[in-house]
Amino acid sequence: MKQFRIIVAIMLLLACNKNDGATTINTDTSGFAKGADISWITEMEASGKKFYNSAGTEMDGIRLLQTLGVNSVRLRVWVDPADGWCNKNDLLVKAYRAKSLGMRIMIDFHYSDSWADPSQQAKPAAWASMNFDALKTAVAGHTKEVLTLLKEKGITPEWVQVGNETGNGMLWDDGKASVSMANYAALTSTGYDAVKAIFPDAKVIVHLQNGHDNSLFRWLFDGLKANGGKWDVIGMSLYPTKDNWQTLNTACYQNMQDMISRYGSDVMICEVGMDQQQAAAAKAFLADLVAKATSVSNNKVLGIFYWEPEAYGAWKNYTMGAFDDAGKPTEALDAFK
Amino acid sequence: MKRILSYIQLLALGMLLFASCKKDGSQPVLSGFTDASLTATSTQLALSQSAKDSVVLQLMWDAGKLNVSDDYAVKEALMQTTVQYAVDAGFSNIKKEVAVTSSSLSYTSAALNTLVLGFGLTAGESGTVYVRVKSVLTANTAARYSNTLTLRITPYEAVSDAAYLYMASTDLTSFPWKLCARNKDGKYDGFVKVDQWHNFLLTSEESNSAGVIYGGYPANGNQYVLYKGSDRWNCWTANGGYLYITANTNALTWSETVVNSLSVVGDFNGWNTTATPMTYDAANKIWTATITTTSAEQWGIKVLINQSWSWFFGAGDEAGVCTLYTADNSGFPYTKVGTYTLKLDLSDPHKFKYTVE
Repeated sequence: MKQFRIIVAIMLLLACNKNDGATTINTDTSGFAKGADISWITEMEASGKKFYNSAGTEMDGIRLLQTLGVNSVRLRVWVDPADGWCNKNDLLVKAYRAKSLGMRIMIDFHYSDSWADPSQQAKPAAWASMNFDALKTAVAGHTKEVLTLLKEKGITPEWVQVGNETGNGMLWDDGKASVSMANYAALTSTGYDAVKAIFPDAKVIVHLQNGHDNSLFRWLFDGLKANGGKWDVIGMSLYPTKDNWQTLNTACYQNMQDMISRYGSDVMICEVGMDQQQAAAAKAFLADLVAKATSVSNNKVLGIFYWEPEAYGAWKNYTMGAFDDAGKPTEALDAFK
Repeated sequence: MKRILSYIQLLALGMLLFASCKKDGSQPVLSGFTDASLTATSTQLALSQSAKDSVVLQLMWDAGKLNVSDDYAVKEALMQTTVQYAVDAGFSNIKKEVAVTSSSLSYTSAALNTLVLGFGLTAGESGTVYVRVKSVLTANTAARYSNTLTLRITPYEAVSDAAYLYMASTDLTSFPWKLCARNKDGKYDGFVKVDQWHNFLLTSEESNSAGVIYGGYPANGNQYVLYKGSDRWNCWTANGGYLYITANTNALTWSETVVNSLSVVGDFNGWNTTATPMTYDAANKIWTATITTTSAEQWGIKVLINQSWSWFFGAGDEAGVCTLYTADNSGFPYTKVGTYTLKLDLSDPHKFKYTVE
């Protein structure tokens, strides 16, 4: 009789579940991440930018991306940015919204007050005169402070980037990889440990520019490994043109496979983009990259994130978004459907 | 036997369940309409003009997610969400309602300052503002409300960056035009429409007892000087018509330039400087032009003065406002598609305003 009751219970679930929860979206919360970096969205909204679906209905920009197949968001955080956007509170707001929509979250620590990329990895102003030990303490403190803020709101990031496009290290000059790989490795491990202290299950990403440049990746990750630097996932950016995307995708694919075999790491394509005027080429590029990434065995490539697709109308003079000048998505993101 | 009976019972029950669910299915059930949960990044705020462009307050809420049974899709615009502000906890007098599609709102110091001064808060004093999120499905169902947050905000006195000079009749009884120094730097300009040989004075207030009254005192044959002594002459223009006037109270000079035309250029007319002239409406002191577009203007539009590419109205720093440029710059946004009237109001040079109707 006990068995009977269990079967009835299962039948009840089966019988009525079929019709429950029928929403317009079923977000895939496991498996391959189809992501978007949407860090600009709150600032865009405050300046009056609106987002429309292809039918012309105004929508929440994050939800709109979700309806297009995006299941993950990436959010950058700066230490003390001049105008406040992308500070820890602004990060929290966007993460909270993504979590409410049931999306997966990547946090991108720049360890700077502004853009950190291959051309600049400036220390936050408040850290500028610290000695190296104090700098490591500051990295750990900032990392834990930001992640704790998320944790208190019940938000659990699945991935955390320690540094952004750190092809030549971060927190220059102390952490400049070409000057001191040991320092860069120490700072990276400090960030890694701080992430794990708050979110033990989060995967830590070390992210480099130029995902097609295998020699850059070998140089940096050989150096990190030799100096005891810690990471879980190797992150890549890839910004091809309509003319060279096939070549770059092939090189990036080979680089992914080399990273997996050389270090046993998982790989994440953390940033991609192409000229918004070339939406058809962008769709072909993205579809090909998704196909290549998902063809790698054992699901070792975790996902692909489009960088700031919602940027449009000459926002900050950035022209590689995936929305047209009327605030509607281009066909580029159809590759995520 | 008992076991077989059990299976028969089970089968019957299963059929019953199937039937009952099917019956429910003919009346789709909407669920997930709940009270929103509202949070603020800060609830105690001392605003300052020095940080006016920094984001200072963000509100975020989770209004839930609507679900409908039977595979029916939820229409995107089904749930209407508004953020309501009041200065009393009971919301008996709602000061502002903001309709939102996003699930957060962000304010810079300047934007929040303007908002709460509009509610009657006093600059330099901490005041209380209440905020909540209202969700509505349809007009005939009860609205849902979030928790109410209490914000304590100290606004600042917004100092205008602008200063005016008024173009007065010579008897100081009428002040039909004004010039503005938008950066309070003593460099004033503006657009006026006057008759030929018009005589005028420039005053610091719209009053015959204005603190400063400039006239002219032509020396060496130069009529374009400003002079505030009691033996002043009048200023005059030999041209008349629609004029661009500048006045420099540092150098004590003024100038006039005749505006022969305003013309609109954009993708819609192939950036043709003569195809779309504007017409001056003297009664309303505005310029108008009819524009037909087939798509949103990708680069915005410009309004050229005297068909010049280096003297035009282009991108402004707020909606509905354009800026006068004398060097290359971008156009102002124009997103309407179809035939509309562009109206340009240059009568208050603090902000050159435009509308599309």
